[in-house]
Amino acid sequence: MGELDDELNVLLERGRKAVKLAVKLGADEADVYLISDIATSIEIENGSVNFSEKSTDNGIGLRVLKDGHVGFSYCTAEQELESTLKKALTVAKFSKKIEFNLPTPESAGKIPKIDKLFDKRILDLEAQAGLDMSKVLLQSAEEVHEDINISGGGIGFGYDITALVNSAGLEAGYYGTGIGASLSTVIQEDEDDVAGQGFEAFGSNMHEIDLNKIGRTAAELAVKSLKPVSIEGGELTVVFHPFSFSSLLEFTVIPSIYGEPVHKGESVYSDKKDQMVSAENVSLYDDPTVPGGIGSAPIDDEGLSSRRTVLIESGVLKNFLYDIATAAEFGQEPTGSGIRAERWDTSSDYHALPDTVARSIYLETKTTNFDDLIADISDGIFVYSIMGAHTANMVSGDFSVNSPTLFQIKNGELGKPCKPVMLSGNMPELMHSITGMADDFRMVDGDFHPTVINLGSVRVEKVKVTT
Amino acid sequence: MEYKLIELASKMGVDYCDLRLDKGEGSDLEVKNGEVKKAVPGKGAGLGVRVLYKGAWGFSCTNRLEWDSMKAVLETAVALAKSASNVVLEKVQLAEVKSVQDKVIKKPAENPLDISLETKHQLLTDMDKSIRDYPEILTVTTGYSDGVKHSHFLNTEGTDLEVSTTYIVAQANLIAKKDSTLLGFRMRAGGVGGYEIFKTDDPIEKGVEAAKVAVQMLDAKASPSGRLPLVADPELTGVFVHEAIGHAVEADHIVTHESILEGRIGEKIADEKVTIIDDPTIEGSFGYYPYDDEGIPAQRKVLIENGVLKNYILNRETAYKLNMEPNGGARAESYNVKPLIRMSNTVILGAGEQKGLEFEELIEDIKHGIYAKGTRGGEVNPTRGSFQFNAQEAYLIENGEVTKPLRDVSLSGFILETLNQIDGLGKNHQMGSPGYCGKGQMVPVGDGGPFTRINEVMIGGGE
Repeated sequence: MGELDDELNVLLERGRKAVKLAVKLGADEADVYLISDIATSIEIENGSVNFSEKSTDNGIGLRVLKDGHVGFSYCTAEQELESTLKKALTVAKFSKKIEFNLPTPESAGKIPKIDKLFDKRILDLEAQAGLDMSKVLLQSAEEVHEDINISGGGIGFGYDITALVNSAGLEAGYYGTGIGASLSTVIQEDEDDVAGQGFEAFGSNMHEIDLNKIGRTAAELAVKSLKPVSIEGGELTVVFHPFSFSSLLEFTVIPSIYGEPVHKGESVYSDKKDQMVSAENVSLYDDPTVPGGIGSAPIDDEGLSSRRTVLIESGVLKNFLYDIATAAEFGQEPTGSGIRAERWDTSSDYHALPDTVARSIYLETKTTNFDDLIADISDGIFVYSIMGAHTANMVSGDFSVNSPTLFQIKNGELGKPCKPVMLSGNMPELMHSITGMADDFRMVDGDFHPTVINLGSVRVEKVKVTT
Repeated sequence: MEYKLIELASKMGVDYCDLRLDKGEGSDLEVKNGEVKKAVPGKGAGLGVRVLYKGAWGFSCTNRLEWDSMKAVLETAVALAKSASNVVLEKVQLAEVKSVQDKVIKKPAENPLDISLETKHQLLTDMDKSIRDYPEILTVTTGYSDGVKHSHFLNTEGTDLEVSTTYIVAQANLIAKKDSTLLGFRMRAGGVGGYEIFKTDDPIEKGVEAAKVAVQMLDAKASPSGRLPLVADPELTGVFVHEAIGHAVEADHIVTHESILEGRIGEKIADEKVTIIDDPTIEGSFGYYPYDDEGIPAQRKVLIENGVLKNYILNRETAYKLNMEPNGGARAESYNVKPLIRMSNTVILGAGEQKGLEFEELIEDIKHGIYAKGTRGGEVNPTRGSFQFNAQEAYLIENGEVTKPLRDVSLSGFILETLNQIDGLGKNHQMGSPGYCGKGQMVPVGDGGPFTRINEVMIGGGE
């Protein structure tokens, strides 16, 4: 610790100045969100490093309240602060009137101290270290099969600093590090047959990633997926790899537990509080306080302390998620879920106003090892990846997706790779058909939202499969 | 300062360097059920520098535009390229192109920056009102965004391009409700140009039309599943072309052996009725650009002609590798990312007056099939050659007639099989709504086509 404290203090000081200026220009209240980050990445293509990048980003998001109306604008350069604040104040004139107050140091709650979000070893990494790491990644994949082609992938690492200052006296900030690696592989054995394809990715806040495992897994998956067979459709027991189940949750169940759609009757969960909404041993939490979680941070993007929120407990729908404004609108307590992200963005940024977003979702249910999970499945499939989860009907939860990479489960064992199938159904309904989870737990980044989903492979009964 | 920087770059012993200095200004508004959710005017600028040294790329960027930061960015990019060049196994080389000096400043008839936020807010309020006239519409979220982007591109080969373009978009997401049935629906209008676009692509009109259809779809039944004949409207046909063919001809997938269309140039891969182009030069279209982000003039690319695969979408690097002519297909979402190979406006051409069929002719001999319109998007796996996309509106075709509405129709298939299953096309193509394509970076795209009949495609429905 300590390395980035000076930089955080610079941001906080800049924030204090901006808040003062906002009030001077006529704002009743103001909050200022500042970020600064540096990221280095090394890209691999066709078995070779060929691109390396180092980029920085910093900016300021300015929210003002005037007579109960909210205004917002952003800028990157300090000299534009005044003109940006004036723009924000103009916007406030016609925007929606909202009855809420910015958090004070007391109302924000006690900020948790979360371990394993920062690793000085990552801070000290140079691009050369990334080049060395990519060699390990490449070698470990190449060792699996002589014909493997490493089509893409790479290594990325960096840090980000976030600061928040408001006119109610709140000042908060934090920094974290991150490192990640990914690899895609292709193998073509027979000209007339489809190629085998593999992918693996892993991210961590700590300099603790197993490059050998990532390379090996990506290559092994490609080899295993060669020579797919056709299967019969029908209602099958499906085991979803964390990559595929998390995508389905991201575009259906998760946005349906946000306070606003729930209270406005736009969610399948609108009138379901305290009712059974999943199999009885299934629980769902939002918990951005877990040490080492890639979705963890001590505060949300409005300065509220991070906290654990129980959404579904043993099948019963317990709570919904709220940012400050929606909590005030519907007479609820905010859950520290105010996140600033633009549409399609997977991380917070200074361009956007806070909105309700799930931060780090944990799915829990009866958990065994993978072999036991599939031991009594006589005829089913293991769905590694899916395409088109973002085309699900977010309102109803109906989905129909294609799975390009999947395997048979025959007599309790993983079998041959299968040709692509379509899977369809309704996610809120399928939550009732979850019968277990494997302990191959992963933290999966959202495809199009800054939500991390933490889960193992999930077993679901009677999923409609079309071939 | 950017000239000084590129001059400095050419003195640093690099093989190639380009820089993009972007300045942008725009606004973003959202109204939900009559109330302003957000109104965000914003401004940004930044510099991205790309350096090629002994076969390896280095890239860096900043949004601090003082000389010291700009110089530091160049030095970082050079240092990164140099260290990467020590480990590069497959050296990057660039196909040769002519250097270009040009200035394309597209001044829209009605610059959205000159129009007050209040006026834009009024537009959304009007959309909102006319959509919520339908009692079944529970919620409407309307959105508006515009932007003017000025980009200066320089490289060490003498190319010097200044391009300024403007875009506007208005959209609506509706939720309709009847009893316990909830249904989401969306529309989008806009293009590259100014506020005048809304005179021809009227978001209020489109919004009302969307509301009407959404209400109708509340009574839709679950769709049948299985292999069925399908007729797609121009918008859905456009998405089909984009997902099923467009991505598979992006040359980055070709050179990494991740596309089933690798090595098939000159081969007949589709029914001979099928001709597909990618054309960034269509004025006003959402995928319009005059020069790509490597400074190459934009051009119409014929990808498939009468069923034969003719071309890929290329950047300079893949053009060199494949020994093909570069065709200006590199696009970057912003200064802070490297250009990737991207589509622009991807269109399947109509069959013309002679061979083209009327809609009635397309459906007349279908006993049991699907008519599908619009889309909620799709995705493709070019390596396996399979695709998935979703229709927003669909109907059953029974004995040559469009009958009852169907809900949540999703289509899937194999590129090479489905291209040969196209057995009927309308006379002319039409462009669909403006779209965004995500491939790590989001870029605006257009797509379109005629009404299209596919003999057999995999339908995933809920029935």
